[in-house]
Amino acid sequence: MELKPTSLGFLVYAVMTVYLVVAAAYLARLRRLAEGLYAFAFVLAVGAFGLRWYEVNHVPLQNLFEVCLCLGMLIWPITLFCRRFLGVGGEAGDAIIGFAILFPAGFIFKAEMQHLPPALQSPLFIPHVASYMLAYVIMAKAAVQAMAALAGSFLPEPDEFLDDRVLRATAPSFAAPNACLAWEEGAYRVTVLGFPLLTLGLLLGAVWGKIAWGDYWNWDPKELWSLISWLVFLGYFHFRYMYGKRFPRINASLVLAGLVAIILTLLWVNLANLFKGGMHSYAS
Amino acid sequence: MRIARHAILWVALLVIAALIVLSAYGALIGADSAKELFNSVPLVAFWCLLILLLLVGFIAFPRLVKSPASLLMHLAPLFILAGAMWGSEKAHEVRRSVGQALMPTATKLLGPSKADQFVNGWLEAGKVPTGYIALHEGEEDNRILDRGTQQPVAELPFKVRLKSFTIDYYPPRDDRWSLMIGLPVYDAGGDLVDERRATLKWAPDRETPITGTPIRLRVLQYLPHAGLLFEKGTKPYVEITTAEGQTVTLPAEVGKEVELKNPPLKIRVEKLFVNLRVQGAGAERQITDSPGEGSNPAVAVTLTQPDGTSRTRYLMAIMPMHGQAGEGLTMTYVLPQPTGAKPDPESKVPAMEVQLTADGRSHRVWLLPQEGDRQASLSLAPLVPAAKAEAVQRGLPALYLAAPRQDVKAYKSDVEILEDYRRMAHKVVEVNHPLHYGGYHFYQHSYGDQGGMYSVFSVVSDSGLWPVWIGFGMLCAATVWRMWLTPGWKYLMGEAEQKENAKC
Repeated sequence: MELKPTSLGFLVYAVMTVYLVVAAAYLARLRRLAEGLYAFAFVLAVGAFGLRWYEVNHVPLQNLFEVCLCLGMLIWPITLFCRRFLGVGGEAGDAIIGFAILFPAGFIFKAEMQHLPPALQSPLFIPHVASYMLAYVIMAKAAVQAMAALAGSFLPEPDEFLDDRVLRATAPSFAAPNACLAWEEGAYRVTVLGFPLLTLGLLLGAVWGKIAWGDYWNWDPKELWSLISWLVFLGYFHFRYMYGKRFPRINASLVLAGLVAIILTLLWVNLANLFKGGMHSYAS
Repeated sequence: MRIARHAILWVALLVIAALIVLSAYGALIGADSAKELFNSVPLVAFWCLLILLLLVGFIAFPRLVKSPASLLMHLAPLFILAGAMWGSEKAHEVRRSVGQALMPTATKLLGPSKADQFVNGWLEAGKVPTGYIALHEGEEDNRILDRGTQQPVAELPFKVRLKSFTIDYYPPRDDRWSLMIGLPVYDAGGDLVDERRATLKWAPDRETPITGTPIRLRVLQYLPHAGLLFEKGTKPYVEITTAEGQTVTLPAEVGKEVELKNPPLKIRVEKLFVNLRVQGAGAERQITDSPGEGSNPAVAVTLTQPDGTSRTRYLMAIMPMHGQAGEGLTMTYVLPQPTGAKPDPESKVPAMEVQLTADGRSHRVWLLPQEGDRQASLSLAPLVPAAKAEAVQRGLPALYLAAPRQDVKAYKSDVEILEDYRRMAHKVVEVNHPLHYGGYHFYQHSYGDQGGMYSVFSVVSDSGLWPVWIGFGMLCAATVWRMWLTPGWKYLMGEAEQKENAKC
């Protein structure tokens, strides 16, 4: 754990603080304040990302610090998109996700600027990392919806959930007789949004592997865990195809299991690599 | 029928679950064991079950065939599995055996050229799945070596030639060389096992203690670009000693020569090298000077006999055993030791003068890296009376003036493919830029410099690659179609409809 006493570091800490306030504001139902602060946090986050880009002189997606910085920036556009086009809320959760993602950037991962090693000099580098990052943030949002579905009766009715207009546009026959089903529907819609990105990330990684070191699949732990993450969601979609919303808690549990697999993919192997290195080591 | 469909879907869920469990197990046992597991016979049966399941699914679920996105996303795994299986190591072995068995019959039925087309072209029976080719600069070869045994396992129908291998570096972030201390590391038994290096922070004219030693250091001068100073009159020379013990000195200047009586030889200095480099081997051996890429000072001398025949020998200052002429003659290239440095803007190396104080006595010494060196070292053992004999022998503790770390930018192998002496392909192979030729990909794997620069290429068969790429493309297209485009379209249509309704 170490502090980053640089302008970039302070920006990151600022964004983190604002995200916490945003989450509190949403939970306290101070919607206007929350929305304003959330937008402000996004501006700060873009500033942080831009500053890093300027400092390193290439798209800053090379190490875990930069990956988290980007993720922390993307949360706001995702919140907006999900609200506007999917009719899905849960903004408080999103702000917490933003805080959680920036935490390692602020306190754990090294910001040391590194030259791009030969292995990372590829046009596939950014698309592979970017689709995965976006997918992870979206699946985290889905998992928050799923957790709310499981908490179900303990949570207040999600008012303003599923904007009427969006509802009629996308699922005219949908009825949410209770909070659990409403959250479950939200988890489903957000998972559907994120799954193509997860697929793209997985396959781009395979293509890049072939170009870089000769094989599109090496059976290494990182690849296997990313396959597991993908398969959990695949199983979820098949189960939901079979049983629809009859078992909302099982559906929600599967989405949560997907997030657990993602966390293991992202952290387990990388934490091991922070000590010894490996094919997927971001920190050289 | 509904029950059958339900059962099929349950089998699908179980297959997915099984794959998850197997993958988690595979992640625990490590990549090599996981690869063995997933290519083992029981797992091959599992993959076949998956293929069967998908085919049954197409029959049982007409919607799977009617909806383009669903069709694509379920066809994709079939393509991927087919390609992966065709390209697997086992499949290569099987095809090799089948090809060998079929060849006589095929030749009889189709004739030799059509049989070759069938067996080696269509069936791809002549290929090996993976291997290595190691080439020195200037060398060419067509043999693929096995990864484990380093023995040749196949011969390519063409030759791969390495023209040159270079490493590009990023310019260092900081030009300043760093001062470092190297301290001996002992194990529990008191034996010297390693050296530990640490950077010394220094400021001009400030005395700092050197950690781990009783010595105090003061930097007197740091010259970022330094030229070496030698004792007045000293110059490089070749010391020649005959079998009888007679010693002759030949100044190391081009054109200078000396005549010996016994053996009767005329020895002449032909060329001086700052960094002698040997490329290639045997008849193709090339000797060049590569200043700036290292430090191997050398001199080329010719020895001419009275009958006019002559031969050339290369004498290297740091490897005096090489290049000897035989006949009881010993030749050594001697370089004078520099005694100091002066600023020289053309020089690419720095120099540092330090004052070392220990035991009440002070010594002034220079750290003088030579052109092409990445560090200069100075043993501090004489100033550390408590140093163990083992450490003293290794020159520890030692003071280093070390060049800033260089990050590699690219490993570049200039490679060409030769068939019947004709150049069929040419590429500078780097990481992320393999050469694709003759059904194989050639990847930059590793390198070394023993016996000259050499590069090791990883050779991988491209069998079964196309179905895998097609499957990937189908899977991406299908998920985007079904999960983004279709709902997006519905949303837009829904909005349009609402606008229409609002008008009424």
